[in-house]
Amino acid sequence: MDKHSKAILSDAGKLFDKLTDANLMRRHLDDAPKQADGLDLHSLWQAAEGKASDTQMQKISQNFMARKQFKAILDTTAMAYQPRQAAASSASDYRHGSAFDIRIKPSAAQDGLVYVQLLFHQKMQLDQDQPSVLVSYRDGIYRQKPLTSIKDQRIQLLWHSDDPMLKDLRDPETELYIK
Amino acid sequence: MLSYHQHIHTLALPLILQSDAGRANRDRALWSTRVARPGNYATLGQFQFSDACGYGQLMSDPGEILSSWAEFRLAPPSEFLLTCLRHIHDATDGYGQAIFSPRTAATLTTMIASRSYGPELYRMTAMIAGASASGLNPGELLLAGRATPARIRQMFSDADRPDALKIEDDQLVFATHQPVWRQAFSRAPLSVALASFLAEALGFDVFLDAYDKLGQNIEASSIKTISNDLSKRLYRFLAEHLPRSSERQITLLLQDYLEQSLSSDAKLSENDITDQIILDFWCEKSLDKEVSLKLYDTCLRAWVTFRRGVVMASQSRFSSADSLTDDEHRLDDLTIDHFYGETDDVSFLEAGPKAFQSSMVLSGDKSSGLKTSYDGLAMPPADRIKMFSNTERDKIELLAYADDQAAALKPSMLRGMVFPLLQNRLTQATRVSKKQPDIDALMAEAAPNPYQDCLEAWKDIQVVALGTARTACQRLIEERQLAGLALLTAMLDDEGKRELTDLMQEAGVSSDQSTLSAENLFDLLENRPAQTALKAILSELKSGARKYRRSGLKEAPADRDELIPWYDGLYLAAGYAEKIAHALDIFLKEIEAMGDQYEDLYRKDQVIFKEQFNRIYKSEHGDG
Repeated sequence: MDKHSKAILSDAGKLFDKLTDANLMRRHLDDAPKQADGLDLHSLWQAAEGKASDTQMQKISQNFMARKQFKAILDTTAMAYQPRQAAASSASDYRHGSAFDIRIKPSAAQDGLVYVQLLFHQKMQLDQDQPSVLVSYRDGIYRQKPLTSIKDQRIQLLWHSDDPMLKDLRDPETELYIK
Repeated sequence: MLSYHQHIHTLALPLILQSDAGRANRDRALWSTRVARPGNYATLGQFQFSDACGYGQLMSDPGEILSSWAEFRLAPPSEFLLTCLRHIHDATDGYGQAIFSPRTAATLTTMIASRSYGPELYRMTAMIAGASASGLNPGELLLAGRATPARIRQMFSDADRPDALKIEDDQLVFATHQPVWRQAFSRAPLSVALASFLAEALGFDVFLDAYDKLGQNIEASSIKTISNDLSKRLYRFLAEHLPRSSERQITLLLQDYLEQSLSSDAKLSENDITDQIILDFWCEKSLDKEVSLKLYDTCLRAWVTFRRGVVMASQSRFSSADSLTDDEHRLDDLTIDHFYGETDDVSFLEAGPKAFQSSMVLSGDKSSGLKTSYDGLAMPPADRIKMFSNTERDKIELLAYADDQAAALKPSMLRGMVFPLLQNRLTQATRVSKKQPDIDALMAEAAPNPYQDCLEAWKDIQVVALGTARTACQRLIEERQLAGLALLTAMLDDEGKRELTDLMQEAGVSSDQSTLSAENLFDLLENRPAQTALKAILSELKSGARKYRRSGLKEAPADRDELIPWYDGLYLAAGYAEKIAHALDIFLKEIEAMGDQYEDLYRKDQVIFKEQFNRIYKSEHGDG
């Protein structure tokens, strides 16, 4: 064979490998179809928008890669963030942050209920984006709560005193996101 | 004492070798030269090990945990890579609509599996550089909606773009690059798919980091630097999760065999890969215990793919590459261009398929269309319409696989339809009995002229393809969908087309295809005099549709939400079926030109295959 033909033969071999790899992978995916796990980036994005069910949040929490990806999405999309409270040493009913504070106060009127107040600092531009969800992350577990509208730079929520998210809010190790 | 990480890597190889033992199939032969390596299982260390630690699973039996991980399979690639690809295929928006078209998702799979991402990675990097510099939110671009050319173009159009970034003729233009860099929005979905894959595989944080850097400088040098960096990262990722194709022994066997068959001054072309070479190769290599090429079907498909490789390589724009990098990119381009055209993906537009568009533009590929149409029928939304039964699909699967190579390898196609079935029975017989199977008896059971039977079967399927396409057209017309008339146009002769054009003018159907004009048009159609050409074909469609009461072709779905996807499915499925009928027609005409030769051919082939089966299975059972 001449030089040109040898070059074609060599290229044909490489293309054969590429086409075969492509065919095998396609068949591999077709032959072993799996139900969508709901942990793709698009689903995580929707979850970060507050559109996930508690089951979905649980699934995210149980998968290392999904947790990592979800955190990256929240980091880029959250309106406000509170990192772990490095200086705090124990659980507290008041949590200070650079963008917002959290105050937990038992309801005087109703036993077993507590008020959770999100106190936004004046510098927040809340007129542009209405926050919709509060996400907590502690010990590898994400939890979320829908938010009501802001009045006077604050959101007030009424929760049961045994709500697991209360423990998150009190724990200085918890990270918080507002979306 | 070993740490748990060390334990995992120590345990991995024996488990890999134990698992999945004894399974032999066509793919296995092609994967066979790939040896499981610790690098392929890095996901354990990277991800799942941390999970296991986090959830206290290590208190359980490590062997049990390890065996449940999908990474411990003999056949690569890693489960993590497959999950990343599945995420692209499965991604949906907030309304449950697919983010990526089947063609885009399939091309991305091809790109990653064949490591042909080089040129697309540059395009993707340029696109995200432009997006970042225009202030687009990275998540909005990648994750917030369907990846269609129109949506991405709109995002760029609405953004506050830097002066150096323009939109001209449906292209994103980097005006300060030397030469000016232009990329078509029609290709943007593939760039978004690749970016999403990178974010899935390498991490969203890695993508965001690149996005931020790219926004600071959209000059060519900056884009190239970051593109190269991402390319290296992806290369390293695939090194861990995808086996090297260069380890494939069969490639060298095919190259050597072809080279030896040619004279020293011969010029190589695809025509050198003949039916005889394929048969001779199988006869020789099927007895070689060092390679897994016992099955004729494996050899045939390998040669078909290799022949396609020769065609593609011969058509390459450059006779020799300037450098290794350019050479690799040239082949990458050839591979991706084979699967992904420049045209819009009409199966995946913002508002469903375009009406009045010829079904012949349904695919963007440059092949005969048989393969694209065959695959298209299995993908949404066409897959909801049963144009072919499973048996019918099986009977044209090989032709679809061979696609544009089928006509040049007619005897091989006939052999591939008949003898692999017999060989499968022989293989099964050897599994259940230690005695050598009775090959003579098995061959005697075959029909008197199976090649003739194949021809008849293909003819029947061609009739079915046309019949189901016409039925789909009829259903659309019954539903007063203009897409039905688009399909009808392709079936009309000149007189019918003139008649339809006159009617459309009378009904006032304009380019915007308003509902009102469409209703007028269908009213006019219904009231046509019986003796007109148009009415005649409409009656023909109506009566023909009674024969094909298959799933999706019978009647409109009761659920109104299902109507639009059903219309889209009918339109696309009809187009694909028409293409299959057309490709079969061409192939059948070619094969009929052989005259009665195929009867002689079968008689000769029967002798050759019988002898070869005897050799193969005799050698497997010693002296019997």
